[in-house]
Amino acid sequence: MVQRGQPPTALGDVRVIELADRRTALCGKMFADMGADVILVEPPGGAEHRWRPPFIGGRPDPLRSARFAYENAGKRSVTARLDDAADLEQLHDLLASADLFIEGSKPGSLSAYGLTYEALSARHPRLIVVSITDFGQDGPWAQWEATDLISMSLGGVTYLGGYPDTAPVRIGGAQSSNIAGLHAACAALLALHHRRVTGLGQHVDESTHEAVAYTQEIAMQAVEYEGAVRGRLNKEENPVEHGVYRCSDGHIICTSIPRAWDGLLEWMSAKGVDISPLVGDEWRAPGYLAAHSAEFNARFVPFLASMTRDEACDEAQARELMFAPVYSAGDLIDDAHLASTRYFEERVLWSGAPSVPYPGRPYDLSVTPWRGVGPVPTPGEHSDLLRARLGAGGAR
Amino acid sequence: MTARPLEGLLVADFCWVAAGPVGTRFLADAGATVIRIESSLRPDGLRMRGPYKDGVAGPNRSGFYNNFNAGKFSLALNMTTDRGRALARELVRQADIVTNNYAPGTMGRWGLDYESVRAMNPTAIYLSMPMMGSSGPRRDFRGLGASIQAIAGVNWLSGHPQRPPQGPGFNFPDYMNPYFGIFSLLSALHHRTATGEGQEIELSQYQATVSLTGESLLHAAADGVVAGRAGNTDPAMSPHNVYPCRGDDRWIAIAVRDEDDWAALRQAGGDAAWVNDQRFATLPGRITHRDDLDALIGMWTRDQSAPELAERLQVAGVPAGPVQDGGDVLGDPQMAARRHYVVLDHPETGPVRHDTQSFRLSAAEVRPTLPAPLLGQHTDWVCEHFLGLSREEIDGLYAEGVLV
Repeated sequence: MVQRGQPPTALGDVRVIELADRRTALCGKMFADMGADVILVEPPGGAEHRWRPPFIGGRPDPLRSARFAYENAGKRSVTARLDDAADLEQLHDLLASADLFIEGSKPGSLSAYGLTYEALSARHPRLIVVSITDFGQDGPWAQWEATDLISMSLGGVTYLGGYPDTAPVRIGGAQSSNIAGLHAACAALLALHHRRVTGLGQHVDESTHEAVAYTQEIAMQAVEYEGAVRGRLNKEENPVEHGVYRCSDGHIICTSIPRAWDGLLEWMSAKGVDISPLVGDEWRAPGYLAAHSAEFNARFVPFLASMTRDEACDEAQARELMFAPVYSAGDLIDDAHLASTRYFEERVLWSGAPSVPYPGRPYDLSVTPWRGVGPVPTPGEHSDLLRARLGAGGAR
Repeated sequence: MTARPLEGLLVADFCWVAAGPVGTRFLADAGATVIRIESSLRPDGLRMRGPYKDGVAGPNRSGFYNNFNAGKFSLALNMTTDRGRALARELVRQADIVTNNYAPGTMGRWGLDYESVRAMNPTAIYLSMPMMGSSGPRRDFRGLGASIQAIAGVNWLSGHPQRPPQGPGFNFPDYMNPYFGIFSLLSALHHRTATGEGQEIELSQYQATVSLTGESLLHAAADGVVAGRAGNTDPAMSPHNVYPCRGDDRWIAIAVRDEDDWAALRQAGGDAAWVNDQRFATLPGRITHRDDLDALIGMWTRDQSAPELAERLQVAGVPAGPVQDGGDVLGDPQMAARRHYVVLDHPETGPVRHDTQSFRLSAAEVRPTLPAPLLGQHTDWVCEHFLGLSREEIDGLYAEGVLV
C-alpha cells in the first residue's frame, strides 16, 4: 500500500487476514503499523473484544472500546459467518490473496468450518497460519479456558507481583495478549522469511502460556540453578530492590543506589541532611545497605518527601543516580520528552470525531518508517469493496 | 524439520545485560550466527549476577546470562585499543545485522555509529535500543527495566489502589522491548531481501514500553480519564481475583467471564455461603459487592488444593489456574508436553534446562542447540574464520592485551 509522496513501508507488500480476537489484536497491529494490509474478519455485528470496557466517551459502542481502538485502528474489516457456505468461500478468496492468516480460536474449534491447518495449507500452500492460543495447539491444558489473569498466573508472572502482605497481583493493562502477540508477530516474520527459501507457508503455533513463562526473568533459573523459589519482594521504601519512594507529588523508583553513593551523600548534604551516619565505604559493600535500610531511610525518606518527582529524578540523574518517576497516562501525555520525539500523533479514530493524541512509534526505521494511520473500522466497513474487487478477479 | 529460517545470517552483537541479549537469543534460536563482542575487562553485568549454578559465583555460571545467551558465540575484545576496535569494525563489515543497547554515543566512540557502518557495509541492518532514544530532554536518563516500567506507566497500573505503585516485581520491559526490536529487525530484513537496502532502526525502550499501556493512554487522551491500579479486578468480570488455597503462599486465580461461568462456579461451590446469596445473582451485583464476594470465595478456597480445584473448575468450563511459582511452571504438565524446556550441557554448569521460544513452527526448527558461551570461548574461531588472522597473529593479540 505505497502511497504517492510517502516513503515505502517495510511490509507494504504483505496482506494479513486476522480472524478478529483479543489474542490476535496486537499481532495484527504490529503488521498494520509496518504497512501491511490487515483485514479483520468479524462476525456480523462485530467481534467480541469490541465490547471490552472502558469505552471512550463512556458509552458502550463497537468503535469505542479503548483497547479495541488502540489495537485495531488502521485495519480494514469484513464480516462473515463461518457457518455460511458463501461467506466461507469469500474468506477463502481472501486467504488466496493473503500471506498470513492470524487466528486465536481454541485449538480444534475451526475444524467445524474446515479451517484446520491441514485443510488451509492444502488449499493455500503459501499461506502462513499463525495460531495464538492460551496454551498452544496440544498438551493436557490445550482445551483449558483462560483470561489474562489466568494466563499471567499459570505462567508464573503474577506470583512475582504484589506486596508481601497481600495476595500476588498481576501486571496492569492485560499484558498476556501483548506478550504472546509480540512473540507471535516475530515468529510470523520468521515464517515469511523462510517462505522465500521453501516457497511454502507453515503453521506458527504460539502458546501464551509459554510466552508468559519466558517472561519470568530469572524465576525459572533460580529453581534450576539454586533450588530457590523467587517470590514477591517488599519494594516499599526498599533501597536495594527497585524501591518505591514517595515525593511531594507522587512516587519514584530508586535503583542501584550504592553505585552512586557519594553523589547521593553530596546531594543530601547540600539539602541540609545530616549524613554523618551514612559516611563510610561499608555502605557500598554488597548487603550492607539492605541490612541497614532503616538507618538509611530515616534520612532518605524525609529528604525525598520535600521534592517533587521530577525535581528528585532530574537532580538524581545529574548525579548519576538511577531514579525514575512513576508516571500515569496523564503524565505521559504531558511529558516533554515524548513531545520532543513526537510520540503522540494526532489521529481521527472514527468519522466525525475530533482527533486525539494517539500513542505511536515503538521504533524509528530510517528507510521504511513506522506508520500509524487510519481510523478504527466499523464492523464490515470494507465488505463491499473487497467483494467487488475479488469478484472481478482481484486476487493478487 | 531441521531447517532454520535465519541460517547464514551473521549478527555482530554488541548488546549486553538483559533487554538486548533476550532479542539476539531469538535470532540465534532461529539459526543466525550471533557473535557477542564481550570483554573480561568489563564483563556483561548478567555474568556477574545470580542465580549461579549451585550458588557458586563465576562469570560462566549465571543462569541469568546463560539462559538468554544460549546458542551465541563469544569474542573477547578490548575495545579500548585501536586494534580491538579495528577487529570489531572488520566483523561489522561482514555482518548482516548489527545490534546494541548501549547509551547513545558509545558505538560512535568506537567508530561504529550507523553512518560509519553504512559507509563500509551499506546493506547492514543496524538496531540500537537506547533507553530513551537518541534525542529529547531525557536522552541521557539512566536506568534499568525497573526504571523504564515506572516512567512508562506500567507501575501506575500495577498493584492495589490504596498501596504504592509496586509494579510488576521484576524488569518486565526487558522481556518485551527485545521482541519489538526483533519485529522491526525482521521487517527491515524483509525490505532488504526485496530491495537490497539496509537501514538503521532506533528502538526507544521508553516508547516501546509506553506502547504497552496504549489502552489507558488512549482513554486518557480522548476523555481525560486516568486509570489507576485495580489489583486483580476487571471492569467487566466478577468474581475475578486470586484466592488463598491450602499450603504456604498458595493461591488460585479464578475469572468468571459471564453467566455460564457463574452458574458453573456456583455448581462447584455446592452449599458454600456465596452460592445462593442474592446480592451476587447478577453481574452488577457481583461488581458492587465484589469485596464481600471475594472474601466469601476465599473462605471456600482456602482449605482446598489449588491445582486440584483448578482442574475441577476447568472441567466445568470456568477459567481457573493455580498461581504458579517458577518451580511450578518448570514442572507443569503443559510445559512438559510442549517440550518447552531444553536441556543443554554447559561446560561449567553441566546439563541445565533452558527456555526455548514460546512457539513451534511446523516446517522449521527454532530452539537453542548450544549452551551459552564461556566468556571469550570463540575468540580464536572468530579470529580465524571471520577476521582472517593466523595463529601467530592471534597469539600476538593475546599477548598485547587486545583479545581479553
